[in-house]
Amino acid sequence: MSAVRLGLGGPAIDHPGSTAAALLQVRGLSKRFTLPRDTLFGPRPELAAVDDISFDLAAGETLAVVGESGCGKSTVGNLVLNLLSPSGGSIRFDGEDLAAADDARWRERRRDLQLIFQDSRSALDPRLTIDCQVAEGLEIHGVATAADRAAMAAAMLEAVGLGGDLARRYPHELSGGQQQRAVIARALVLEPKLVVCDEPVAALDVSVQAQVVNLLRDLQRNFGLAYLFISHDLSLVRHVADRVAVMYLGRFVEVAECEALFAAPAHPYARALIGAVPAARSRHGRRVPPLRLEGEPPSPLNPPSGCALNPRCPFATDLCRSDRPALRRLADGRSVACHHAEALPGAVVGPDIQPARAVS
Amino acid sequence: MSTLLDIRDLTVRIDLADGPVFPVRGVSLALGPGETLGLVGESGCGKTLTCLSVMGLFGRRVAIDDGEIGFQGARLDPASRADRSRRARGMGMIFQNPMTGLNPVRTLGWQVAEAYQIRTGSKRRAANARAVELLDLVGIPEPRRRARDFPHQISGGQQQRAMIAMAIAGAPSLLVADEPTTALDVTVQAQILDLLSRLQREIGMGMLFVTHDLGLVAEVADRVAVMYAGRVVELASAADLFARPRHPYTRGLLDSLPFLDDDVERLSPILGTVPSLRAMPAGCAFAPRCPHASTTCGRVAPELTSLEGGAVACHHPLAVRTEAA
Amino acid sequence: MNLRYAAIKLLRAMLTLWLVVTFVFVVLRLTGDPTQQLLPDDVGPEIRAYYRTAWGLDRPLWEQYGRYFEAALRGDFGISFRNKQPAIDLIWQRVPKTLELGLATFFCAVALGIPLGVLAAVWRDSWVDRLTMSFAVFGFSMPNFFLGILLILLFALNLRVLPSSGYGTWQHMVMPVFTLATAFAGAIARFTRSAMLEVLSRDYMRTAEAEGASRLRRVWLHAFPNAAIPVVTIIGFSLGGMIGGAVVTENVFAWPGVGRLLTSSVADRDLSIVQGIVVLVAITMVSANLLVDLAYGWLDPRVRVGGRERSR
Repeated sequence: MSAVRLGLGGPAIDHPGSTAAALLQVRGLSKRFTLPRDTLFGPRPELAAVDDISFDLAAGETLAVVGESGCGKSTVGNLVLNLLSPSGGSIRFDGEDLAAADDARWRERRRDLQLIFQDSRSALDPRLTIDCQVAEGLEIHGVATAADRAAMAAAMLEAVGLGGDLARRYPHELSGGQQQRAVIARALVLEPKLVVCDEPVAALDVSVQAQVVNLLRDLQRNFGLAYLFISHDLSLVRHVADRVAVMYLGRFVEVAECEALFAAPAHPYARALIGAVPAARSRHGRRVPPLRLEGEPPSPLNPPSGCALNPRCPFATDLCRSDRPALRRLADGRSVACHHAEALPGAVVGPDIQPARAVS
Repeated sequence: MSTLLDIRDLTVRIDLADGPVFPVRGVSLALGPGETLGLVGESGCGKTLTCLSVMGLFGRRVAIDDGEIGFQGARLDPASRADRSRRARGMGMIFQNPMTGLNPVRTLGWQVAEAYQIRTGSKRRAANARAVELLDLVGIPEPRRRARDFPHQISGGQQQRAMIAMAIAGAPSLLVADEPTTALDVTVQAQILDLLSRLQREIGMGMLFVTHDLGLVAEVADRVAVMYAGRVVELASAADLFARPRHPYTRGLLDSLPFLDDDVERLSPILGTVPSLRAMPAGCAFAPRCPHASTTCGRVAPELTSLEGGAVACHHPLAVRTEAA
Repeated sequence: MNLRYAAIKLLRAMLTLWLVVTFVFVVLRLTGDPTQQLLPDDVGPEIRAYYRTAWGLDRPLWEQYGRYFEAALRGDFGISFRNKQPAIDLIWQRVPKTLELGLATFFCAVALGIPLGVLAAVWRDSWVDRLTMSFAVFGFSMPNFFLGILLILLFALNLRVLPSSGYGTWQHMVMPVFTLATAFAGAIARFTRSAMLEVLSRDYMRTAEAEGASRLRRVWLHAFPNAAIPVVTIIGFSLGGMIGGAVVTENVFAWPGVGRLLTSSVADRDLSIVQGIVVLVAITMVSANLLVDLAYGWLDPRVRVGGRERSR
């Protein structure tokens, strides 16, 4: 319903300034999990992990999804990759409706959509050398001859800095950073168009993170990759992303150009997140003053009525407690799901020329 | 100012099947009453083992090889029973992961009361009453009801509050906090840091705050010790460390982090990786990754020497340089 | 207690029992015409027909099942061929004696196995650990009948301090209980040790050490309640092995219990008694497992009080 209601020209978050030909178009995406009953014959509780999310992602672009643990950001990545099947909404990739794709079609499509996630050690097969693992993906997709595959794997490993002798090692013979490079090589050798990066450097040491981040950016530039970059590290996101979606309890609460968001977040939750980054992570001191939220994120099993943030938000009014704010476009092009976004103390964005408010 | 905690030349040894390794090598640190000393470094640099040595928590095959730890003016003997109880009364510790740090089959009230009882030697009934007060003090709502809850029934932030209540029961003079906010959500981290600094002020505790997060340590610590490969490489006030890092490793760490308000095309990583415990370089452990390393660095390990209010263990400390992009 | 949890476990137990009872019926019908097996070969067809009618074997199968099931619910498993009494009465006469042996074994094994396992874990790699583990391996690698015979040879025939077999005084109990309990205690010690080792390495044990809790306190108040959860489960599940062991042991020591009745009834083809015992053993096993499940729920607060209503 939401997907229909949003349509394509509605308050869906199309990339400001981008052409209509997005690589990935997500509309009204939802995922509900059904849990076992609490009582003998009671209803099965439902958990809305992802609730009515829409976004576009263009080739070569990076959209970051940020939020705290359990907000559903990893679920979004898994839905896009079809590792989970959506409960509602549509995902169009390269003009093709992926919801309609059958398993055979997915196997072909899988090549274009790759995943890099946090735990590189578990992502690698301990019994195979890494050049074999990189070539294996090509073999599964029936690409090229065996000799060509080996050459392609070697070239890719060279590109991620694991050339020569390192390529013939087993995963346990590599450091954490090198393992993550191997995982990246294995994903990218298939020449995907979209890579979902789920906390790709969170498990790495600080001094090594920068190496991998640089690598991801170089590869993006060289191969024109689109990244869906899922992370909780805001200064990292500030560095890599073009646009950022801030997620809270399964919904996007603010979607904006990276620079605009970090200069002046409009949603109270985005303010709290950015304001919580230590001052030492800014060269010229904090631009966003700290905003303390009460308590902790509520259980998604039992979300508050109205705006999900209302029990924690210092600006909450009766309206926030009764009506859930829709994601709407502000004058500067960002989208915010807050009733009072323009009226909050320190708001930088004035009211918009009436956004396409939905008739529900 | 008297010294609350005085670590001298601490070396920790782990006996592995194929010989000993030394993850902490000659660490000396001092902490005054009410002061917060930040201990930063990457995983495996020895920061957690230093804390555990202070607390006297040695796992199997882990032992102090050399050096000593002084607490409240007297040396702590790891083997002495009296010293163990002196340590238990005077020190509290918070761990990284509250979910696994709390006993799953005991109620919060039971666990806090026990900590209070052991530290103060009070009666169980008094300890139970005090436990509810302590839960209230660390900001757990409805403490009387929550005292009967089990750890799995409350959220991560509340669990960490309960851990803090256990650590400060009996008002210790030293609080050791090992990555106390790493496992928590960002918006909750700030609450826990506020709580810690309030409690520190109220109780007057010294705090040894261990973290891998350079930004965080700047917020909480008065002085910061940077550790690399088992040694303290730089010691400075929090402000100085960020404005004028003197050790190339500190500089490298700061440069490799992206800033919130700075548009750089590429980050400047530290090349290479941390040396393995089994293959420590003979001289300075950072030399193989250091852009300024000389032949001396490869041969002689630099001592931690005082330098303009701080201390640095480097043959070629960086000159104070002005901000440049 | 989480009512839903208990109710589900109870339903499962009933289902298992029903399956066992039905299984017994099916097996008895599948093995052919009972009159072929139970009557002598030389009886005439009219006598066979008489018995078929008397036992209801001429009725449709579902009706036979209905009758059988209804009788089983009342505890009626038919008349013993050997001494013409209701099978259930004969079995009940033996139950207290087996129970006596079983309970004594159970308490000895638990009282021995758990402390040994805990000590072995606490003093890991010490002589206590090695001795305990040697005992455990000895316990469950030594077959019951062999250990029983060895004991008889040593204590009854050579030393002449204990009666070789029979029932009556506490001296009669010593050897059968010892025979049965060694294997059981060994298994319990091993499981306790590994459960304790696992728990001792947990973060909360370090928390307890950091707050200065003594070793005794840490082991018994912090670690053991956690380790007890898997140990209780294992104890419940190994009851089956103990029942098998009891059959053998009762025979070795001529203990007049259910196990002995079972072997003699099998030899005599006394089907009603065998049937009754099979169902009785099934009931024992199922209730033991049910008790384990309920104890598990009671010991583990994560099961007892659901964790869903996480407060903010």
